[in-house]
Amino acid sequence: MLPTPTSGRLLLDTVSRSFGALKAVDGVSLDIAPGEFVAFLGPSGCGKTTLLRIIAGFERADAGSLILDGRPLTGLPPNKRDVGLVFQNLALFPHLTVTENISFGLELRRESAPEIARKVEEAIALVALQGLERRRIQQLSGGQKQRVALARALVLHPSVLLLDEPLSALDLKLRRQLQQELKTLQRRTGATFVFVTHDQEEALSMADRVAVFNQGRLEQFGTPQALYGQPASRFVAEFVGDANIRDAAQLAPFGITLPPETLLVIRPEDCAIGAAADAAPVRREGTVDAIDFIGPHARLRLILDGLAEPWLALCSGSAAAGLEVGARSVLGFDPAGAATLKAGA
Amino acid sequence: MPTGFPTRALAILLLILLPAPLVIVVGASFSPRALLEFPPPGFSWRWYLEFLSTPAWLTAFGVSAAIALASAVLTTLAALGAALALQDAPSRLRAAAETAILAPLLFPHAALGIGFLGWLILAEMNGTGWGILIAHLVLCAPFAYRPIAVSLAQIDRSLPEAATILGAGPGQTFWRITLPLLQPGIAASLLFGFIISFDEVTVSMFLVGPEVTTLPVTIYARLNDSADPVVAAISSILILLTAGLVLLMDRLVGLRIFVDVEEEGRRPAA
Ligand SMILES: Nc1ncnc2c1ncn2[C@@H]1O[C@H](COP(=O)(O)OP(=O)(O)OP(=O)(O)O)[C@@H](O)[C@H]1O
Ligand SMILES: [Mg+2]
Repeated sequence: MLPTPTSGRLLLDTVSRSFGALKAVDGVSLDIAPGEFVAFLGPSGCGKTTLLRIIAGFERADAGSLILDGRPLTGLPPNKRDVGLVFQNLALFPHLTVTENISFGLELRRESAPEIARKVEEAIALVALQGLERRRIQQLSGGQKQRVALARALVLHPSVLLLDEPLSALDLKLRRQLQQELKTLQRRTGATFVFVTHDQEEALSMADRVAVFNQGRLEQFGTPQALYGQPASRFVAEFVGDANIRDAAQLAPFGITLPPETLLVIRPEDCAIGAAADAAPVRREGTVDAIDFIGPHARLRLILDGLAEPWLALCSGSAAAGLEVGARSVLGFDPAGAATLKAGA
Repeated sequence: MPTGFPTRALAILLLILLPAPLVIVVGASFSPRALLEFPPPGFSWRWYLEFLSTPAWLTAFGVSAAIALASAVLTTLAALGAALALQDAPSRLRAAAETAILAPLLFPHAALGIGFLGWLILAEMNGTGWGILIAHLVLCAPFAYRPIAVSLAQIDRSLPEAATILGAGPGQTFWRITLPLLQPGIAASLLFGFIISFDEVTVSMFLVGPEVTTLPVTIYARLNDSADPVVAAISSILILLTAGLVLLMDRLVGLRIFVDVEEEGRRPAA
């Protein structure tokens, strides 16, 4: 049976941190539910690590407050916060074995030897490292090290586990596999996971909710569907997946009227091409500018007649069959299904 | 690394030249006659027995060993403290402090000897073991600081943080993570400190007095008025001791720090 998460509610209230003139974290407020899997997503340098280090207690916040399960974290040192952290470089202890790394925190808690042995064994089974107990860290592969780092943090049952791009150093295949394992682990342990990544696919596929950051500010915090379907800002719309973002002037040729100061976000996969466009409420002819076949799909860029901005469309390979650069085609979409944005947001 | 003929020839030459003096010294120490000669005209333990039965030699040996041990331990502790303190210091302060610690490497030992003598006379400590010890602490400092600072710089900054987040306080982090990872540097520091102090002649010569003298100074004085093989016998004992010490250190912690700091990276991943 899965444990019902009761602890691990993390509240951030207008947390800020500056380095000189640079606002690394700028007024971030978040309410993370117990047992939730949250991803922090954003481009390099947007303050993800800094925010994570503030939660862990390695970095102080200039302003704002953090509350974990009703307990203010301000002033508490990292070792008193009931927070786990998996470092980007893993930070495994090179002079200790796998077992010794995992039991490190338990020993500090002065648990009895049999109790420690039992928990370590459990943790090793959890991350499937059986047989490697007595290995030294440098005798492990990248994926195995990853698991030791996870086991070392999880064995202490922290209410919140922070993970700073823990998979970024791995090759794609191993990465996919460990993404799955992490997800399973999170469900099994019931801990709140805060997972930092700058890979939007990783964030969207793993997290219950994703917090998108840009230049220290929280742009949006929501489910992957919400981020994709109702982006709160132009930045989110562009960072999370591809998008055709158009203002009133650019849409007038379609016969669409938009309220002023509004943008329409039309996802490439919502654009129909060729015969399929016949059913679309609005459409326009154009010339294929680029075409890319990716697996069963085709990604097209079209220059529509009389419009400067190129359009992106994603359709099935069969719908794009026969098309090539320079060919004429039709692009259609349903403006009613497209998300709107406030201009300037 | 090019391994053409000149490089190899040079390497072979070095390999011959390095032990050459040792062969002469050890050989000459077994001479039955009262003259340093090589090859020895016979074999005897005579000069070893002379060393072991002369209180003046044994006292000098004891003084040197005690000073060397104290220098090694004290400079290592001081270097450890300095390296830890300077690790997070502003870079200007750090550079200034490191220059000061490494300064004894830059000055001729004779000049340092005169300088120390001046200060020790003022402090009325010339001719005492304490005076020699103080000088040796300064002379050993660069050799203690360097390996420890290098070891410390090699410790990833996230390791102490990882220990902290796992529940360790500052003391526990130091004893369980930092100190074990500094082991090679500390071993090198102890070894360098001991050998440098034990071997030191020039500076000590200015500082010894009628009551306290060190072994190298006594050897040097003895060589000045007679060249009997007792100095060869003592030197042979020192060679043996040094070799033993190095082997012991190698056994205990491995002397990677002398040879190769990247052994980990080279080990094949299992
Ligand atoms: N200790 C520090 N002193 C000064 N500036 C810092 C410090 N730590 C971080 N910064 C700056 O704060 C900003 C945010 O850094 P942070 O490491 O949080 O970014 P990030 O989102 O984790 O980026 P990445 O995806 O590259 O890891 C960056 O511009 C960085 O240069
Ligand atoms: Mg980062």
